[in-house]
Amino acid sequence: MRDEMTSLWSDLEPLLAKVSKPARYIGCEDGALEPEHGPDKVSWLLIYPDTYEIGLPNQGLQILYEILNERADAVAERSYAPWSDLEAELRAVGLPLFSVDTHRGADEFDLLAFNLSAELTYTNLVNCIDLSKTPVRAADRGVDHPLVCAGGHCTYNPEPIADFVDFVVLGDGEEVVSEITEVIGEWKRAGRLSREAVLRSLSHVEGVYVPSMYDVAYDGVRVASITPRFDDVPAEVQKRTIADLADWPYPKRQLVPVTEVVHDRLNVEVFRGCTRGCRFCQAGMITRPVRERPADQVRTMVSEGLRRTGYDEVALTSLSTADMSGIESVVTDIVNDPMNCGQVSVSLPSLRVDAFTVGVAAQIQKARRTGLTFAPEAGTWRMRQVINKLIREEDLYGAVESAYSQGWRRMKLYFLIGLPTETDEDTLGIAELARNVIAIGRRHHKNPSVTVSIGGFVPKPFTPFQWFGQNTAVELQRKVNLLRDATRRERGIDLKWHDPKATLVEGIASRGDRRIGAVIEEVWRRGGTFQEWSEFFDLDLWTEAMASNGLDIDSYVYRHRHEDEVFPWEHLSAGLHRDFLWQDWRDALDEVGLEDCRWTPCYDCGACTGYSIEHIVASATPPAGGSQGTGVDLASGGAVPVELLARKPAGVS
Amino acid sequence: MRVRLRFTKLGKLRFLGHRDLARCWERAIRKAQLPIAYSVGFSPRPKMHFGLALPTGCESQAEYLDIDLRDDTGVTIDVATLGPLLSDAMPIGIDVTMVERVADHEDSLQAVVSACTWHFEIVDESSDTIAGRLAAMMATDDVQLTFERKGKEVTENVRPAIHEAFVVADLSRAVDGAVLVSVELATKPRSIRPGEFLAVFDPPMQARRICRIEQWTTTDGVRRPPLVPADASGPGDLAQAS
Repeated sequence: MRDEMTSLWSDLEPLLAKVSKPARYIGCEDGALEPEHGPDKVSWLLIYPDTYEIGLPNQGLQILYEILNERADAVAERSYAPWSDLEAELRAVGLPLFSVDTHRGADEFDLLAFNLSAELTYTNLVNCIDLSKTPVRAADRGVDHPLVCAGGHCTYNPEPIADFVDFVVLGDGEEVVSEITEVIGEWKRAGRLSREAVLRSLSHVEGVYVPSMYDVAYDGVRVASITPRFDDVPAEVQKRTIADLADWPYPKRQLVPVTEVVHDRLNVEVFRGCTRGCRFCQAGMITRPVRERPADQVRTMVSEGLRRTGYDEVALTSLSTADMSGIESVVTDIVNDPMNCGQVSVSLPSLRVDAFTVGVAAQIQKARRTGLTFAPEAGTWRMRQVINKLIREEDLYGAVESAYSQGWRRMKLYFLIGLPTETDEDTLGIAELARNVIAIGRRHHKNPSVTVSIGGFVPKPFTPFQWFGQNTAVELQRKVNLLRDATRRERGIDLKWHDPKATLVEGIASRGDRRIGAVIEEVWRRGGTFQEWSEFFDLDLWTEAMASNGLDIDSYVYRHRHEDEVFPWEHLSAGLHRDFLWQDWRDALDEVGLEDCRWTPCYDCGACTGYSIEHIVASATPPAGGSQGTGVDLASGGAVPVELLARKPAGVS
Repeated sequence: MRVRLRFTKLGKLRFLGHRDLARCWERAIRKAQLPIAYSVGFSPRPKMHFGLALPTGCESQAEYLDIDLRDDTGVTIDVATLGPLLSDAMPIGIDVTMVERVADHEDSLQAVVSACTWHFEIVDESSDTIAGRLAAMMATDDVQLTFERKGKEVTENVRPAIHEAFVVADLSRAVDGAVLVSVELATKPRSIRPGEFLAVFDPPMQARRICRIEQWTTTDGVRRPPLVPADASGPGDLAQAS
């Protein structure tokens, strides 16, 4: 039995003295728990397969950490990928991956549960399993090894990692982690008889997919069929969706790390799901419907969270926070709360592109007006209709005019290249927009600047663009070069771009099938970890592994899929009807936009009707100025009055 | 008003760097809802003044921090309550062990501290061997050491910066034992860091733990720590952390 678990801390101490940034391995966060393990408890190790600085803020992991530790029959601890220096030290002395809460070995847990948010972390997933002294392939594991599972957006196509995980979870984890705990608890009480038995039981839990229970047949480069091996295993696995965010006010005690991490602030999720319908955006497709948190609950979570954590910044998170009903009054209340001493700043990630949004931003960023970020995503109106990001140029220029006139000097604009039907005119439209933004800025400031960030488009499963053949790395680089030439002599424009080679590898994993597992394993065996980090990314490892496994990049990445093609994720469901996605793909090619169904009639995408759930929004009318896809005239948007208050910092002496 | 805190940094927190520790203090002060004063400017910062940074990986019984609190809030601040309040708001391992009000324009900790006492847990050598090596080093006037300052390699005689070094206790017979050595190292005019002290020896001594025990100031020939417990019954009582 595995009830005698011990802390590895005294063994780790001398190693930590030798490595960079040792504070990321000590835990000690405010909110961290030291749960008591026991034979009657199911122990989860929640792992983010990237560094502590990237992984600690992950809200999904923190939510599950709290929910599991609230249960009498479960404990949860956390772990993150050790940096290469500590990994070498661990391997040299034979120590396993460890939890940061009580510094127990990962091999002592019942479950290793990974959050997968990015394809380039797949080799880290394999590395973390190996560091847990657990066979990397599920088929090689015995009854005493931990069960390896994963959740997060990447699990909507888990086939490339199917060989490494015992099961994955689709969708919201809040409810299903408890159901999984109960199944595993039962199995433990019965004496942990066989791994197959518990996996078979888990396959009956809605939202749980057990890859080893399915046979995949191929027809050349294409998948021919995916069939369950047993009658009681579902032919189609449905995602999980919590009906009402108000029932889940988590995290209640957000972890406050002692060392600096990304997004180092209080985060309060104001809604989940998005129905803007941007066709490139997987998050917006798989998280439907929209479920708003009640404004009062947001206010309470913010004020209590600030008081408990000591943070002076709170982010209201969602896929498009300006779309929350009554967002203005919520942010005003936060800024004016006397308990917050006037020193609290509110950040709104993913700003919508319009003047109204800038007005809200102005209200909450009274100090430090350094930069604002917008994501028009494409350079021409035609291209934006294709991707259904219905921002008109007036929207952008209105937003920018509003921002420059209210004291911001730096704009950051996000764009995608390599979108379906994109022409050089569309690509160069990005430079044109940037030039016009600078021109508007010059009317207000001497040296306005705009950073243009370019990402290569990777088609994702369960989006209308899942049929589209990704641009080649060469083509993406040519487009980057076009933009570089077009902006080179422009003062104030700073062009940044994501490496097209990394985009290519993301493409391999994004729509890959199970055969890609061998590629991931080979890249890992040859040392290819931390592929998200440019200092470690190595395209040659991937192309060589593809070649040595007899797989070609054209078929996996660049090939347009057939209408009736069986996708590797065909047996999984995000609730979206395939014919809805296909129709949306046809509409894209016809340059027809689609309005936001939160405020307009239903298109029957399937997400609500299939699960008998509905959008939960406090207001049935679209937000002022939010013209994009709402059918509302922009004319009202730019006119939102913004009262600029004099800044009154507390405690100036 | 300015208050000076003495605090510990022990256990897992020894791996926390100085900048991260400063951020923990900022949050702790906000959590305790102390009326801290802010600097004026584009990006106001809370007014905290740290002493000499503790090298990451070392523990300490004797860290000091000055904070400026606003006098104009009408709130009476009971200095004796600050210790427990801030200890609760800081991570485990940081305990505020003394709090005193000091003069508003008291010289900064960085300026007044001239030496620190350190305890080293030396491993892999017997107590007698270590005592002999310490005595031999102290008996010479010239101890050349090459080390780095401000990105440059410097070789100089560090002997004047080593005030004393002696064996405190032999713990080697205990389970997982070591020899406890006490060393006083100058921080000015010339400084030597605890890690550099170990490298003075050939071969270097190996310490599994280093802990700052006290910091020393010298004013008008009087040597004392930056905070001295006042008369136990008087105002400015020593605030013992729970």
